[in-house]
Amino acid sequence: MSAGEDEAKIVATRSDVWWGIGWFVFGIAVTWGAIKMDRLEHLHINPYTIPGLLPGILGIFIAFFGVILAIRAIRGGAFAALEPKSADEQAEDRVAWQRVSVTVAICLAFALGLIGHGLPFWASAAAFIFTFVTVFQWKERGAANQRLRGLLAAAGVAIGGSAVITFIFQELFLVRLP
Amino acid sequence: MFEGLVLLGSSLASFLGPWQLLYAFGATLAGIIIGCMPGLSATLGIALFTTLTIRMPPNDAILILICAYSGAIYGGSRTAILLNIPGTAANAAACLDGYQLARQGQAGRAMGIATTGSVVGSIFGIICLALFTPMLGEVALTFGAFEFFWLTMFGVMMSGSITGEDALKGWIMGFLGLFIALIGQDGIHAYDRYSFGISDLTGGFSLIPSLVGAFGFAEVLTVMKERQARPAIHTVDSVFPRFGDVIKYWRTVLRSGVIGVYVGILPGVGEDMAAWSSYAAARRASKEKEKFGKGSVEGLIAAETGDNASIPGAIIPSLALAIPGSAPAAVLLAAMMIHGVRPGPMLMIESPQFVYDVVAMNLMATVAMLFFGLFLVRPLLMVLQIPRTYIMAIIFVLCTVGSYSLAGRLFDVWTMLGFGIFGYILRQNGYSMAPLVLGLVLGDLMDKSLRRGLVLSDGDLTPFFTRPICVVLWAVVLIMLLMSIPTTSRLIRNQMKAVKTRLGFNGA
Repeated sequence: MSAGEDEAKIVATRSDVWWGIGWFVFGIAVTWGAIKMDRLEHLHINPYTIPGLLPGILGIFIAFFGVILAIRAIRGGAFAALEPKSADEQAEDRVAWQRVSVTVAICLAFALGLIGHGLPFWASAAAFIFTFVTVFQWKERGAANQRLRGLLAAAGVAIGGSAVITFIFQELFLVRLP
Repeated sequence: MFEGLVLLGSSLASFLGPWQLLYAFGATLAGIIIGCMPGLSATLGIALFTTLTIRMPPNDAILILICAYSGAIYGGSRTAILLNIPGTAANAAACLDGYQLARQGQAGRAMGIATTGSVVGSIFGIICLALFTPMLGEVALTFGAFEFFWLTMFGVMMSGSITGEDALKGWIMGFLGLFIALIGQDGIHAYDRYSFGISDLTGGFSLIPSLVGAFGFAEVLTVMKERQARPAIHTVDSVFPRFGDVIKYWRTVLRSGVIGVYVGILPGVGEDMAAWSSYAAARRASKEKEKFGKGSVEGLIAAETGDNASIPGAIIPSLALAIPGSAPAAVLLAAMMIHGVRPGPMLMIESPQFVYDVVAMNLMATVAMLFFGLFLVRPLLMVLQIPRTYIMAIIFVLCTVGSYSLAGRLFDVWTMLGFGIFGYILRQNGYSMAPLVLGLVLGDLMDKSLRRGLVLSDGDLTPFFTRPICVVLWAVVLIMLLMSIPTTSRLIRNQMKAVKTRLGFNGA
C-alpha cells in the first residue's frame, strides 16, 4: 500500500470514529425516545403492541453498530499521525467544497425561495436553470471568450427545459405543479 | 400450467394497443437515456417516472416503470463501454472489458454484445419470473408474522452486507431506513412517533421524495463536485447484436442468467452484484482467463447477461413476498402500492392476472431494448455530448417537481432536500444508499410483523426462534452479525480453519 493510500485510510478511519460516536448518540436518543413514548395504557391496548417497541430495538442496534464502527476505526489506526496535505491537494479540496456549496445554495434558493411563492413554475424553473448553467460555465466560457454565447445557450436551455417540463407534467400527464 | 399460459396470453394481448406500445417504447428509450447519463441511476429514473405517471391507470403506469427500469440498466452499458464510467452501478463490471474493446476500435461490437447479453439475460429472467413467482407465492402463504419479521431483518442485513464496501455501514443504513420508516403514525394504533408535534411529520417521510433526494439531489451534488467530465470514444463500428457469441459462450450465458436471477431474488441485493458475480464466475470457469479485463467478449457478455437477468429476478420477491430484490425494485414496489396493487403472498389469489401482466411488461421492455439496441445506437451517443451542467440543472428541477407532484405539498420538497444533502454527506463517507431504501420500504412490515407476532404468541418469543423458516433466517442474520465483530469473526474463521484441517481440506 502506498503512502497516499495509507493517508486516505487514516482519514477514512478517523471520520469513522466520529461517525461511530454520532451513531451511538443517535441510537441512544432513539431508544430513549421509545422508552419515554406513550404506552397507551389508557386505551387498554395489548402491551405487546406498544408503538415504541421496534424503534427502541432499532435504536439499540444503531448504537451497537456505532460502537463497533468506532472501535474498529480506533484499532485500525485512526489516530496515527497524518502528514499535512500538499498545496495542490488543499486547493483541489477547496474547489470541490466551493462547487458543492454553490450547488447547494442555488438549489436551496430555487426549492425554498422560488417554488410555491406565487411565481409561475415555468418562470422559477427557467430562472433556476439559467442561473445554474451560467454560474458553472462562467469561468470556462470566459476563458474561451464566449461569455455572450454562454449566456444565450443558458437562456435557451432554461426556456426550453422549463417549457418542456411544464408541458409534460402539467399538460400531458395532468400532474399539478408547485 | 395452461392456466398460466392463458393468463400470459391475455396479458400480452392487453399491451398490444397503440398507446401501450408507445408507452413501452417511450419509457424504454427514456430509461436508456437515463442509464446512459453517468450519475443518474435506475432508482432515480423509476422514482421520477412514478411521480409523472401518478394519474395514469395502474397497468399503464407500471408498464412505463418496468420499461424504464430495464432500459436504464441496459443503457448504462453505453457509458461503461465508451467512457469507462458505469452509467448505472450495475454496469461497473461491463467497464472492464467493454472499454478495452472500445479502445481496440470495437466499440460497436462491444455494444452489440451488451445488447445481446442484455436481451438474452432478460428473457431468461422473464421465464424465471413467470415460473417462480407463483411457486414462491404459494410457499409464502405458509408465512406468518414471525417469518415476515425475520425476512425483513434478513433483507436489510443481506442488503447491508453485499451492496456496499463495508457491511457495518450498510447495516447502519438499513436500520436507519427502518427507523425513518417508523416516523409518523404507527400502523396499528395510529400513534404519532417521533413527529415532535410537527403536523407534516404525522404522515411520516414519503418514500418517493426521500428516494428522489437520496438518489437525485445527492447525485447532482456528487457530479457537480467534480470539475471535468471524461472524454468519450466516438468512433463506432457495426453495432449489430452478436447472437453467434451467445451460441459460442452458451455456458457462460446460462450460468450468468442463473446467477443474475438468484442474486436478484436476494432481498436488496441489486443488479450491480449480479453483474460482478456473473463476471467473477465466468472468469473462474473460462479457458481464456488472461483475456478478462483486456477486452474479453465472454467477460462483457457475462456481466450484461447477469445484470439484466437480475431485473425480473428482483421483481420475483417483490411480487410474491412484498420484499424487493433491489433498490429500483423497492421503488417499483412502492409505486405498485401507490397504484393500489397489493404485492405479497395473497397476490396470486387476489389478482393472479397481475403477475402475468408484469411478465408481459418485462417482455415488452426486452423487445423495445432490442429495437433501440439495433437502430438507435448512434443517435443515443449524442446524449453523451450534452454538457453535464445542463443535465444536472434539469434533473434538479425534475427532482423538485417530482417530489411535489405526489401529494401537492411543499413538505415533500423539503424532504427531498434534506435526504439529498444528508445522503450526499453519507455517500462521501462510504455509506451505501441501497440498504437505506430497503429499510424505508420494509420498516412498516417489520413493525407490524413483530407486534402481531408477539400478540399471536402472547409475548412468547419462542416461535420467532423455533419455526423452521425462522431458524434459517435468524441463523443467517446472527452469523452476519457475529462476523462484523472483529474478535468473533477471527474466532469463527479460526474454528472453520480447524474444522477444515481436521477434515483434510488443506488446499489453498
